[in-house]
Amino acid sequence: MRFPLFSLSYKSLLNRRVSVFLTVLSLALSVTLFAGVEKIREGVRSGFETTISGTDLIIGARTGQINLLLYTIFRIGEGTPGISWESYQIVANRPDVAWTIPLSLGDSHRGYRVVGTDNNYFEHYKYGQQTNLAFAAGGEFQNAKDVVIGAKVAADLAYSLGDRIRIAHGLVATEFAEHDAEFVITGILRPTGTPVDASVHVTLEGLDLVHDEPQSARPAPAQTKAPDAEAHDHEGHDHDEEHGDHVDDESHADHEGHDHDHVHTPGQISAFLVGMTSRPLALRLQGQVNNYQGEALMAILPGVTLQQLWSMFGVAETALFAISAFVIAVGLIGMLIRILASLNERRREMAILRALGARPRHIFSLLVCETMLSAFIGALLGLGILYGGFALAGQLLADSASIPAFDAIISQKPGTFDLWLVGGVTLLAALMSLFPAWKAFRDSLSDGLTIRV
Amino acid sequence: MSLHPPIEIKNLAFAYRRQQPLLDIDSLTIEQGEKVMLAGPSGSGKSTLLGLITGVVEGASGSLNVLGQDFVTLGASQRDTIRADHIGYIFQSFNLVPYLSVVENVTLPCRLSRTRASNVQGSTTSEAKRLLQTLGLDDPALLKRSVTALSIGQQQRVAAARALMGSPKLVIADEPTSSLDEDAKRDFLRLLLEEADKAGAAVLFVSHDRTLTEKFDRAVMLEEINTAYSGKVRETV
Repeated sequence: MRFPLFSLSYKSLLNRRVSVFLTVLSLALSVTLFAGVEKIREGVRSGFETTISGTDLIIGARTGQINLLLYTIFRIGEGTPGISWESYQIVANRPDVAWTIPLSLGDSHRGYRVVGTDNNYFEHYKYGQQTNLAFAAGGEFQNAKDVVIGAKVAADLAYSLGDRIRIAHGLVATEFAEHDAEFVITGILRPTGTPVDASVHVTLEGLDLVHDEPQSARPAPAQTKAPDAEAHDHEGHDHDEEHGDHVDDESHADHEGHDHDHVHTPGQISAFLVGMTSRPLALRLQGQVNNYQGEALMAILPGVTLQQLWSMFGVAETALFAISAFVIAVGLIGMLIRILASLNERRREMAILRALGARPRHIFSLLVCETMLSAFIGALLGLGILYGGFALAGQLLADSASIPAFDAIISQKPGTFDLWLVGGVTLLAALMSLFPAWKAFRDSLSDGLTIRV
Repeated sequence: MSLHPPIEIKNLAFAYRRQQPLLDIDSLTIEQGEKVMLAGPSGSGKSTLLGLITGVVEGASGSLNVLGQDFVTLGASQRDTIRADHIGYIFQSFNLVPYLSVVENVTLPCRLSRTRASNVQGSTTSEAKRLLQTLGLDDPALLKRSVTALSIGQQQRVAAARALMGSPKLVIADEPTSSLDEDAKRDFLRLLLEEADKAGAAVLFVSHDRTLTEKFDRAVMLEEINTAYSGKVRETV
């Protein structure tokens, strides 16, 4: 006795394709949601974790640890106060410090962040698996007004070597805000998949030059609060220039009354990255920096701070995970309801199959097989929607610089997680189908070849 | 197995647990190739008898040999196998699996049973088409149509083709003509009996229509041979 289980299941599903499609679609969407939550979590983590590697300490003004990390490395969040060049020099000249990268942040060029730094950046900054930055064209800074742009900036703004650009004060791209000094693009970096791609790198000297010019129109108060950690109480205030990159400020003059975090006084930087001669020395230096009396400094270990960030997200992640798991359960139950509802109208079909020699256990396996097939197709469709969505998002949202780890999220390829998900959903559906299958089994035993409808 | 009569009943009794006996048949034999009409009022035990003969109802006592196998003692799955291999069954109506095509419905017995498939010379599809053609369903457009779009008469003929597919030893038809008009009924019966003859299949044809009796080798009145029923009737009278 043989039973063409798969072909009957398939044709039976195809015959009821509208109602089957709808339940399969609802399961598919729940799988999309579930996998989407996981992929975004995974993408954000890997995106963040691969953005910085090989840096032992980040040292900046005393603010929140997570804030310092987000601002200096991922270029998001609140600006931090500046720190003095002298403090930087003290640390940079220590014998246990192998290298340092100064970072001066707070300006922008047409929506892209400007990073004031020096050539150490290109020599020592590492991302991914200890990968150094590489040039697609040109090279390091030679002159004060040289600019090195990230791959995304070059692509989006169609810049090439030798182009002249201006730098805006703050992060608002307005005509008023642009400083007069012109910079020349002398280097274009290869893509890294990190915020470096969306950064415009200029020399510290170059930044100091442009900040000198409007200095007369812009008295000191904006900077005086900088070294003082207490000043960070202002976090809740309007920092328009920090958040809304596209908010059109009325005028540059408007900035002056504000208490913004623009910290480029000559002799000041935002933060610096430190590479130790030996990694364990980082902890000692961290302690010394945090207790430094000369200035309110703070040193963070990027990995540890990243872990703090994840543990902060942990609760939200768990909640999202639970919600999306429940949505899958709802999708599966919807499928169960459809199968149960169809059982009565299928009693005749089962009796016909019985008359042709099918055993009750064939009827049982027919229902299990149909359910597994629907769930399998639903799970595959759900992942298809997800990856299709990622591909589409990559095409449509070219201006993705504002979304952290965007590239890391959408560039994910199907992996073992997806296999487990498809397998898990199919298995759950199989378990669930035991109930209607058992009911059909019992019905087909009692009905025999008579049809009670 | 081929030497045994398709149905051989001796002292067969059946009752649902602790209830009045429904069936008590002294003797009933259907020989190979014999065409038998089975008539009887409702409640005379027809469905129960058909269920026992096809092997889907169990719990009888006595002796019920179907193609030489004693269904009273045989296991459920072996009865299912014999049904798949040797019995063609036609329901009163709605015989067809809605999600299969006409030809797929007809070839289905061969997909469920190797014996039925091996009885077919050549491909099962061409045999199905041949059977459909002899039953008057040779319009290619008809074969492409969904089975639910066929008329009842057409559906019953497809069911007959399916029952005859792969040369079963026994064809059981449970009032297959009750929803057909007079002409369709005669056509159907003639074609079914002709094809069963060619295939060498015995036919057990359940019907209330006594005008059809002459078409069969003999007619069995269930109320006469089922003493459980006639006894009950006598009691009530």
